[in-house]
Amino acid sequence: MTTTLFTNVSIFEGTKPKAKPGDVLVEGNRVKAVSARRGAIDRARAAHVIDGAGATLMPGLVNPHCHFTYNNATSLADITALPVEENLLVTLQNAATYIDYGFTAVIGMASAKPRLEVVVRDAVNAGKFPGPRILASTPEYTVSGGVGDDSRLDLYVPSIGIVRDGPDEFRKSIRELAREGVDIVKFNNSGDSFTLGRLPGTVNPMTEDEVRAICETALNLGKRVAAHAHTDSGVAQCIKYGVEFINHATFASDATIEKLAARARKHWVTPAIAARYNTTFEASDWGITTEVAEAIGNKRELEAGCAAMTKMHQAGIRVLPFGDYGFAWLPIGTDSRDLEHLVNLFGMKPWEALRAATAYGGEAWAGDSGELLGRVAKGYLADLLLVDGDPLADLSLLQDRDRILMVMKDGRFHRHPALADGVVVRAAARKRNAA
Amino acid sequence: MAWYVPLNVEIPIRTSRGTCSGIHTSANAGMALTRVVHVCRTCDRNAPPATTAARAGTALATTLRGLLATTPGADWDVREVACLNGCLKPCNVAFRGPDRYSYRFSRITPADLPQILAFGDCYWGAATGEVAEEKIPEALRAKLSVRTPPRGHW
Repeated sequence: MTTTLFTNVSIFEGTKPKAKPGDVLVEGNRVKAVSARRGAIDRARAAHVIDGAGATLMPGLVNPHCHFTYNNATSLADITALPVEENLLVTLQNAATYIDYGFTAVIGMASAKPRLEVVVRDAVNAGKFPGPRILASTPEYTVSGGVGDDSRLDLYVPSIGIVRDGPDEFRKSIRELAREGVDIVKFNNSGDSFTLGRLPGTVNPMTEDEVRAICETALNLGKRVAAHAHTDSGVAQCIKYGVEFINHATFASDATIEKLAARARKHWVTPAIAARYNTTFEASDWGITTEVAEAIGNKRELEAGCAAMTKMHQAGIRVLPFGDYGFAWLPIGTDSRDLEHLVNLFGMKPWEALRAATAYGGEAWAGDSGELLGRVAKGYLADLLLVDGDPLADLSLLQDRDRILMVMKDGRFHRHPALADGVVVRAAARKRNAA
Repeated sequence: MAWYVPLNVEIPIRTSRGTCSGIHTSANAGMALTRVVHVCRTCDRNAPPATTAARAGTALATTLRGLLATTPGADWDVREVACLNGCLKPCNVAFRGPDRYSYRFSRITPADLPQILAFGDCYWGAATGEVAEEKIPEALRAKLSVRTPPRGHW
């Protein structure tokens, strides 16, 4: 069993407002010991000793709303159009990108093709390709005319979603996808501005019977459930039927937020606000000016989402970062910008944003499995990053992969830190020297 | 021999290229503002994969870093990020900060970098990061592709 001792590091534990100096011992795939006193852990216990040179040791990032099968296209239809073979290559590339940028676990939130997330999860778990821990999702379940239904009456057009109508159709399809090995069942009980006005985010196209059937079937099979729920009624259905992952929750009313707060330990809210912010302000090269974003309802979703998330955070509801990256103006690899959005748009403190990205994310990933993920604490899985600088003082550090000196997943190095005489060579100094 | 860089170095803003000045702290973060300039490392995303030469964005970041190292008072950090969402107009450089205006410039070449430094002085010197159009170096005005106010000013 491999043992690695990190000395001379500043530890962000995952749940504390400040990083503190200390040493950390990793044994096998778990954190064996954490000491606040340098030198307190016997070096003889470790096969490898890494002097972190003051860099920050923190838990790996967890993306709880991940579209790692998406190809940074401009629409869902463009993703659908990608043949499954090419889509598989994109997905493998994305998995590698995620772990390169410090994401050691991701939760799939709508596979572009039915088995893509499942087969990539299994391949990464088998060590055949680099990538984070993965929970695999179904494609998004939708009703005729819902988000993800690109069908037309006059010709055959495939859809990214699985389009079903009525409780029985959903039950049969969910049982099939459960057979194929998914972890998450995702459905859309709201519209979205991405439909360009066809079905706004304020409309819930699913019936109560359909939502009940989806949730009952998935939960009975031991699957976890997620919903694209912009609408107030959609969020209310999530609370009523035990949907663990509530995506967006944009138009949740104060009364619904109050109900959600009363059951805050049972839900995770993933607003994916970059899909609103970037689309409103940074997509004009693709024809979506701020005026267009306003016309299709995207800017309204941004403003309402910011207001709702601010209230939810203040009410103690666990609002998580990341989500919906995988489009042209929010491409995969830039996900960590979300940490700044949580601070600037929702009023979180930087450490709260990092807690959401690590400790909360780890808890969300683990669910009721009993697994420990997302903290630098004894017994937790050794998914760790070594960061050149203090991310609590500057969250943008995590957007620069050169500043993520080391990525460890399950006690193994994905990226080994560059060492000189056993001491971490810090990238900033190296680059400054080179310049 | 290892390089050791102390954490949380706080250096007051000095201006050597313009008339803007002032030390600003983020009300939101409650901590000293880190002055960062973002450079897209994947520009030009649509160019053929580089073989020996660095991508244009990475090369731009290296040139900028060299310029900063030789410019008195230019103590910003260069952040090489995966993308700045300006893929159709490479190369891209952006200024962002907590509770501040965001600016992105597109089609930036090494020849534009002195103006980028001049703009940065104004940006970091302004309380909210808002830079009046007349203070944006003329060569950059046509290259401004994103200007986003902080929340509350949309």
